[in-house]
Amino acid sequence: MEEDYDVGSGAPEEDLSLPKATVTKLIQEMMPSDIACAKEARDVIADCCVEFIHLISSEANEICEKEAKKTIAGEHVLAALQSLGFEEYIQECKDVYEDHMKQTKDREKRSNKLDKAILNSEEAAAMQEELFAKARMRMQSQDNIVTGQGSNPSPG
Amino acid sequence: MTDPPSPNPSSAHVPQTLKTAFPQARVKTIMREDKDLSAVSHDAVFAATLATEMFLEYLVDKSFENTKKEMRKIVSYKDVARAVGDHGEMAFLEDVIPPTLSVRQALENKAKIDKQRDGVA
Repeated sequence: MEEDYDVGSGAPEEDLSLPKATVTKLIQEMMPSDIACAKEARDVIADCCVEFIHLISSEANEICEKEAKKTIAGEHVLAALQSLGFEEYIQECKDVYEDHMKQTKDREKRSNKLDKAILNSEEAAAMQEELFAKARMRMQSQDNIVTGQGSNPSPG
Repeated sequence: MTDPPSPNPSSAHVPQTLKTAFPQARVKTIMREDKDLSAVSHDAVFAATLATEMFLEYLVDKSFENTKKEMRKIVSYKDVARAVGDHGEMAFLEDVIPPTLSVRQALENKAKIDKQRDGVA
């Protein structure tokens, strides 16, 4: 009996598997709509994926240790794919990985900039100009109230 | 897939662009079942998740080829087992999914072996 546990301290490790619904969805996305996948086939495919995770983790770990690094990095995982002979799709994997890494770094750069609020002189000047413009607008509208321009004259 | 409302702080600051079909937290837990493993960066979890999705596609593709050969409409366990048996890089799966032999094929194999033995004698 297999169950999909959410990650939690109570989950028995030997039952750990990938979500069946996701496996089913990925399988169906690949096949024409008139083709189905038997439940036993779907389950064994899910098991194979778990086994695959163990395999590349172990290989990536060895590569990491050879480089005398303490933490397994994305590059170690990609190198593991190469050394295990999964030539067919390693390039696609690398491309998607590098694309996402680049997007992440760009996003982090932008948010770091805002978080630290360190303005360069151009940005400071632009902000200052904006504040002045707002102040001018406020003053003008106050003037209007005092002189009665653009507002209804008060009775009596 | 819907975006999560905000990054979950306990997921080690996984940036939202790193979306995958399989949940990376689950993949990370599976990886860490191996007690000998060094620490795993979130980049590595992401790469492993990607690689696993691609592996699934590869396995399904090869299995489906077997289904098509016999002009069936349902991918069976046997199709997957045959795919594993036919491709060397999937040898690591032979314990998970032993290549199935039909009774007739097993008998044929036995007959072949017997014949070879008899031929030598």
